[in-house]
Amino acid sequence: MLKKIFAAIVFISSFALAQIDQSNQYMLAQSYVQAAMYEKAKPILENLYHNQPGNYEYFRSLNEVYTQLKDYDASIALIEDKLKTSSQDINLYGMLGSTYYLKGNDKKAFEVWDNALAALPQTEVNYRVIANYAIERRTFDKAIQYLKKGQDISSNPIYFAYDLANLYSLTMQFKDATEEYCMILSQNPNQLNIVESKIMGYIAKPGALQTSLPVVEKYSNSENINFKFLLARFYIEEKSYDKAFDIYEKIDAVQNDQGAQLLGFAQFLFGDKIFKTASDVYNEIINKYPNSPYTPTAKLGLAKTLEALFEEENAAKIPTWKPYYETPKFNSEQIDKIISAYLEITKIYPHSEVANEALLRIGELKLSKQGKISEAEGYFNNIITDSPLSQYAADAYLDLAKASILNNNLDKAASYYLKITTTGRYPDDKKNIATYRLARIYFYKGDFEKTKEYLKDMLDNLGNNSANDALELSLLLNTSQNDSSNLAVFASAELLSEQNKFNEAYDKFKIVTSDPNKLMLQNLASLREAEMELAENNIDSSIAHFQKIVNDNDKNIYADKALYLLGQIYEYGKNDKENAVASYENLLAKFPNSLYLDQARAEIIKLKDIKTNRID
Amino acid sequence: MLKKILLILSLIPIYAYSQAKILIYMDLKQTDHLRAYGITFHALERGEKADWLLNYRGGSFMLDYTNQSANECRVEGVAFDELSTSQASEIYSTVQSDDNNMSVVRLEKAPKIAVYVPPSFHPWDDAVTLALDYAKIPYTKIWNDEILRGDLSKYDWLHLHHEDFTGQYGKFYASFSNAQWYIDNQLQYEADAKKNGFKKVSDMMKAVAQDIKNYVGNGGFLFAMCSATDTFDIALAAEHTDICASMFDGDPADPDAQQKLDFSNTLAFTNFKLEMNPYVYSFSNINIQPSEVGSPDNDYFTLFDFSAKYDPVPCMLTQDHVNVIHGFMGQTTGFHKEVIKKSVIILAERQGTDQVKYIHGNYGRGTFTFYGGHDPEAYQHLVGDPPTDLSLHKNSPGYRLILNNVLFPAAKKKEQKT
Repeated sequence: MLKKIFAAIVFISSFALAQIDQSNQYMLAQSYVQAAMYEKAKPILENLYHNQPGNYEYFRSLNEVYTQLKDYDASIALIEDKLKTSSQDINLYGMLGSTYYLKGNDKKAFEVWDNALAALPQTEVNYRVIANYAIERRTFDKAIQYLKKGQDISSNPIYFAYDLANLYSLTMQFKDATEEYCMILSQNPNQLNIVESKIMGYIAKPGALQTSLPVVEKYSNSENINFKFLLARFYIEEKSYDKAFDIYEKIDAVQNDQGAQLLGFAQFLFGDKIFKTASDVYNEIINKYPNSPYTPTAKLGLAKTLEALFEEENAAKIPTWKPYYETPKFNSEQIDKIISAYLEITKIYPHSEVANEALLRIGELKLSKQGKISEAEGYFNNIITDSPLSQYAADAYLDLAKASILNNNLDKAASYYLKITTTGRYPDDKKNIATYRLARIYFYKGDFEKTKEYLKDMLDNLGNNSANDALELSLLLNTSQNDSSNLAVFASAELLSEQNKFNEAYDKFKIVTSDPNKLMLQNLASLREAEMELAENNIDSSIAHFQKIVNDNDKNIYADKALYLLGQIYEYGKNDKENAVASYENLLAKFPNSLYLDQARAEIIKLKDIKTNRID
Repeated sequence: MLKKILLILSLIPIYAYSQAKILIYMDLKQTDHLRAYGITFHALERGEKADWLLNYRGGSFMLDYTNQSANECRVEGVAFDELSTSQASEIYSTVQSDDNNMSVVRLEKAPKIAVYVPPSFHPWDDAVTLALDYAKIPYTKIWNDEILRGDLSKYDWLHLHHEDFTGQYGKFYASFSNAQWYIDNQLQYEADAKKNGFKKVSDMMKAVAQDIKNYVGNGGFLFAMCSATDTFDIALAAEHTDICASMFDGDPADPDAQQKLDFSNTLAFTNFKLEMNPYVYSFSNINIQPSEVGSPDNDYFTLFDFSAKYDPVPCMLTQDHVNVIHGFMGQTTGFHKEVIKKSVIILAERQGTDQVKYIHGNYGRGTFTFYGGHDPEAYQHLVGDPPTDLSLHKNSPGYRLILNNVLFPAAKKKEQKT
């Protein structure tokens, strides 16, 4: 009995020791594999596999080592040997085919995979396993073939659809990819977000949109509302905004969303500056869903869109290239429509910041586009009276001061500017503007000492945006102050030009230029004369005037600006590209240190249409 | 008669002082060094004469005076002097004097430039195309198809940048294998290989590298930067072995790949050791590793001084307004001196180290120039970073080295005396 116990102990111990030894051997082999020392791992694994041919880990590791060593014949022999005992294991066929493929025998690889799938039970798993081996070998067409067969025998086609769609998109078969995604969506409407994001991942690639759109259009005829969402997104990608509008209208109606879908679409269009369609969509919401909670937002959007559209349409009419110009006549009916849209907002949200913004916009439209100064003042006053803490109050004060200057009430204008400079909470940039404007008010009034005081405040901080203007005015004052009578005439002419009284301003500037002794003042007055002529659309005489300044060259310190403005007149006023380019080029040649150099270069490049000249 | 003589005498100074030449000086006073190359290139395109005054005021250009060139300089913001014949003669005399290390190189024709750029999107930029675009120098984009069908012979100059000739897709696998651009990139390469009759991308890239080498051998000018430098030579060395792991070409690398490298096949590098780990973002020990570079504050490289009269080619390639330039990283930042072939000329290096930045050599009837680093004005240009705006770096000495290479093929061939 004792002997039997002893023998059992010895047997168990030796078995356990053998197990430990094999485990250590395997760990050693794995370490060699990880260090890419396959030659050293090979004999250990061969030995282990020989001792335990049933151990799948040893088998797998040995096969890996054979393939890493490119010993494909050994790998094939190993797998075929394994198949003798596990002929129903689909993975082994996958591995065998894979090895043949690595060996360069594609035909045999496909034959192994095809035969295995034909011989083994027709299950989804088998097709997926072989497809995965094909994907691993990057034979995507073969993988698609297996996945499609798997889909055919499957009771749940979605099981294969994502993989198929992904492979189709990888192989740039976008139509088929979209078809698969649409099939998924038709089976499971909850997948809209995933499907949409997957499709959008490839839709920008060449040819993807054109080939995929008919697929989505076909599916959108179904009752499934998700296809309409998808189709609308496709139309947006195609920039067919009217078609997208039509789809969102249908979605809104079907879902009884009271304009929610349309509003989202309109906001997108506004953000992308597609103002015309945006205004149509906002109007649709307002008219179709007057009591919807989304209507107030739509009204604000409409007002902003109408103004943006107006600015876009009339941009060409405003000669911003001129230093001075009279605001052109605009279609009052169109402006009234925008104003009434803003007015409605002020009624819906009284005393809110949205209403204050609307009031400011109305006032500025009245002031700058309609010339209705007193009406504009009313709207600005509404803001500073009812909402003095509003973020729009400082702008309202600046606009009120502007209106007062136009009304020739300089004291009132000064009081508005002072209000900004003395109110702590207004932003610094507004305060800087107001300080400079105050200096100009006193300049207009001929109080040059007071002007200097305000300018000094400005020049103490050259970092602000109005510092350059302040410097220029300061230079004029310092060089011309000993001739205060001429300076006063010049200042009054400047005021007249700001009030758009260009003819009167011209006469006053002429008085100054008739005195040739005051170089700086005379130079500037001469330039202003030409600018007034230009403002009055006396193009030819302004050209002659600017040309004279240019010809004076060394005598007029504004000759470079005159040359730049000549270029601008030829470019925009006369549409004479050749002379425009010649003027700009002349500027570059004559005044290599001019402030207008970069602008002149940019204009030449634009006019000559100079490009990179890339050949491809 | 007296009147006639007086008239003739009065005309002489007018002739002598009329504008005869344009001097685009390239020293620190130049306002836009990079566009100066474009102006010179355009003058050559128009069939005008251009001289490169090596070592004169930073490697200046002397053009015949034309209104077009003068206007172009002004429009592009390139500073220049208008010179009379006598002033120009004085400069030529200074440059050609034996007392000065200066020389005149006549530029004859605008070279036809090809840039090897993939047709697909890549989340990085190419310093050379940026420089060419900024300088407004025309070029043609070519890719594997064009090279494999023999189109290289149409061009005088070929530029390679960040591309990987080893077929390992830039060794971005560890960081970017799941990124859409990486997936698309691999698919595109595979489709390209299949179309051109190659089973593996790495095989196609080896063929492309060999074609480029042949192009150089037949007289082409090759300029490469960043990882195109070392991967090009690695691909040539690996002609008879497989260095790609299975994630790159589907099958494992040859375990004896290192031993099977053929260094006689390469242009610039020899006896280098491959980095076979597919997860390591490096190809070999040719490249300088970031840890070797150290602090960016101390990363400067120095251009060597060459004799303008006796070594005009390396002298042309190193023309600059400074000779110490701030370094910049790349997947290939620079080259270890120990792996550079003895026949190769070192143009710039980090002094006191074995790190070489800029090299030049001859192969057959052509030449090659390799410049380490990715973007001279973006120290560490990472994948996905926005392109460098060269209008903010008009006087970049690092970018000037690239453009030296563009004008170098325009030079009239001259016997080298040393």
